[in-house]
Amino acid sequence: MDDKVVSNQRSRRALWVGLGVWIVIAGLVALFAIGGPSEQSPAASRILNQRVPAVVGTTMDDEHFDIDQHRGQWVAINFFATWCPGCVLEHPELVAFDKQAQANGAAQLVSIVFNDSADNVTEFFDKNGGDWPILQQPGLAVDFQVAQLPETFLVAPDGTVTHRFQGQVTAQLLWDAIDSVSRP
Amino acid sequence: MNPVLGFGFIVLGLTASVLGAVGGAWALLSGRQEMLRTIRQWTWLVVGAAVGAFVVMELALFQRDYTVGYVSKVGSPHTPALFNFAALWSSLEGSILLWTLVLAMYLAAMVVKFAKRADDPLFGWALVVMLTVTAFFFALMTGPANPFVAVEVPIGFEGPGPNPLLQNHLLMAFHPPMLYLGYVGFTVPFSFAIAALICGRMGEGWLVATRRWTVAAWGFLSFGIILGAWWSYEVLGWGGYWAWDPVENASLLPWLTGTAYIHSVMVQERRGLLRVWNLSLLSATFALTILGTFLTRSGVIESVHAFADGAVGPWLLVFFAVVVTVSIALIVWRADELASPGALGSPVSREASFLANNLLFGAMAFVVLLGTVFPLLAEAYDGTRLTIGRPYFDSLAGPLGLTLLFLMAVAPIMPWGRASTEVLSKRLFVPAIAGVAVMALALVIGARGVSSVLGFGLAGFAGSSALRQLVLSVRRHRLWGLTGRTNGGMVVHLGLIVLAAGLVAAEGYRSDQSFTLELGQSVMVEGRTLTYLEAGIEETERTVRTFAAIEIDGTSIYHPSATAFRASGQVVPTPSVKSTITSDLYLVLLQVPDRDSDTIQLRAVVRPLVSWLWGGGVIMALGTMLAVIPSRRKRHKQKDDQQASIDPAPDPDPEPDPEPDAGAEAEPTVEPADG
Repeated sequence: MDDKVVSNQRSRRALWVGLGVWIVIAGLVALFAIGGPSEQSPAASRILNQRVPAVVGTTMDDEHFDIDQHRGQWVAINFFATWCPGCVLEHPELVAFDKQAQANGAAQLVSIVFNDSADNVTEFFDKNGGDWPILQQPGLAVDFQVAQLPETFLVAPDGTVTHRFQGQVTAQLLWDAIDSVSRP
Repeated sequence: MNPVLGFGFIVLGLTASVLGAVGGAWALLSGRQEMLRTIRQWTWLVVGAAVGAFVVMELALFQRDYTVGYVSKVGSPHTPALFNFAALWSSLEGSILLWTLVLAMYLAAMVVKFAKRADDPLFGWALVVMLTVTAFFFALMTGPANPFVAVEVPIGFEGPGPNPLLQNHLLMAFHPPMLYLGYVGFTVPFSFAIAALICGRMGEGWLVATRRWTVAAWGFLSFGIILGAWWSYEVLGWGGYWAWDPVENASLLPWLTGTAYIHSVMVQERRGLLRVWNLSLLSATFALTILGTFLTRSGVIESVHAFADGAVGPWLLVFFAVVVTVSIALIVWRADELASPGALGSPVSREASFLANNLLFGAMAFVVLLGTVFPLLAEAYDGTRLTIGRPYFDSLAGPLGLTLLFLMAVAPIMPWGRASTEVLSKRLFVPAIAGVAVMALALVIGARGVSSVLGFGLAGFAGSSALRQLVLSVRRHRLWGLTGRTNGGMVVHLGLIVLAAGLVAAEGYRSDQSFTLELGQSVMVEGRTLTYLEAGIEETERTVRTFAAIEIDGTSIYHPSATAFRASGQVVPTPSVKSTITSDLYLVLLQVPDRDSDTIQLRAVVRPLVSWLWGGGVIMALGTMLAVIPSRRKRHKQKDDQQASIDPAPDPDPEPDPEPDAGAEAEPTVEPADG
């Protein structure tokens, strides 16, 4: 066989191989381009899609709370403090969410106090409304790897943490998230 | 003032790098030597602009000049000086600025190092490629990642400071710059590779010219990754050092292809083989550093790393696509001239074992890449959200790692050309005995489990094989016998083997328990008595630190703690680690004492040989340094051909086999060691 023919064959093979590799990578790029996070993407953590850590204790109203007793129901876990502006701003939304949740029985809200005194919290709830279990267990913030206040986690009826919201939430946002999983 | 000045430097950098790249390309295409020489001036302007922007940002951080948008995000009056300095790379925009600065430093180093080759088109094109990459990063900072956005803040405003996790440990000041030196360093060999493709100089010249740059970049990347693992272990408090997090994977991917490259490049230098493969590996390595940057900063994949910010994502993705397309197009265009002179030959030879190494690293890279992007694939396919966890990676990394150890034992003793059974058995005898001895020792000490015991045995086998090479070389050349790529490489192998032994032990024999403890209560953990002595709170302007004092065996006292940062409200657990050469005791507070009770929940993790991971990392860094010092033979040789052109014929013997015997092409001589 003559050199030129060999060389042509080689060039053609290179073209096909190169094209093949390029198409695979282009597919990957397309995937990254369209596969971005949805708009209200829950922030990532080692918590997501895991079983919820134990949330057990005595609430500020001296009642026993155990998240395991709420299987079959959605649980929204909200980390807050009265000194955190975002928490104060989102409070009315939580009140609305709690009201709807109590009405339809689909969800339970629980708040975890972060670095704040019981007196401040009681006063805050008296003034701004809201009546749901409040726990004072700083260790939970470590368990949930809370990065900033406020943060809210959604726990599915089977006990899996499905969503994490860093920053303020709205009642609508929480219900939408619940609906997105409940009714796929 | 600072926003204007800083942004001015960025615009200057962008302009100079674009003009330099365009002017350089024009000069090269039209053959105007005079114009080509002006690239150097543009380059210095680019370097000056990058340094200027960096200095302005550091000054703004130290002045707490909140009119600079970035400072208002990561600055705080309460951050200690070192973390304030490191705050520059604690968030997205600043990290791009650091990246650009490192790139500019490499650019400066290139111009100085290759000063004599200013007229060489190969070097000219390499500079054009470097300047193009630099222009991209400057452009990022004029657009979606502008660190110098001018903002107005109310009087009395205090910034929040960097993410608390990033101001908890000294390592944070060193891990990112080290990693960036690695990532960015691969731009240099990549730009030479592209230049060689453009010029059609397909010989080994560009490889030889960038050999040490590649090894150095690889060393920085390795050390950066290990520092990151150490930081994760010391700071994050989950008792581990590697979680197969997408961002960790993103740093591992270029490391894997880069490692494959620095091995297979030796086959090309020696035999002129694997040219297309090497170009592809190098392009892949560079492209993967960009992809890693994209994954870290676009928020496309869920990860613990806090860079998530969508705006730069599309830019980086487009740049990645351009890099890949240009590389593939150039390689296809030159395919004809890249034909190798000859074939690989015997499957039992040094070159064949390098090929096996490449297949293995290729497989690892594929496994890691697939695991990293699979959640995206699944979501695109049918909308399922899933995470690929440790089981997937661990189950595949284990066997691949063991195979790698076996290769590390066998490959270094292989002669080039063809190995006879006689030579192999002679050279492998001592390492094999050592491997079996280590296995027996592990069993006696109490190691159980097939893969772990096998892991120790293979580590012993590979370690003594590397040691054997070093001993032979040191006998011949004294301490010079430790320098040069082959010998330095063996030191790196030793480091990696120490690290691997640490991994086998730490992964295989971990104990992890949690206890609820009242004040004064004791528990037994793996033969140690832990007593909870007291709880305490330390308040500073910046933080509230809650700690528990835990006494171990009635002697030393450790203070695991949790620190709440006032500015952000974030709580960062700080584990307390008792490290010895044989095992680590790792204490984390799961529940901290509070106003109402002193009860704590304590997690105690015991893992053997964790310190070997860090020790192995240090040995690897040392080995890399030895590898970039030319070996003794090389030094003599360099004196003779200092004036040689950048494009010599394939170096007939770039790095001599320390045992010039028994290879197919060498005369048999008596091996000094076992003679």
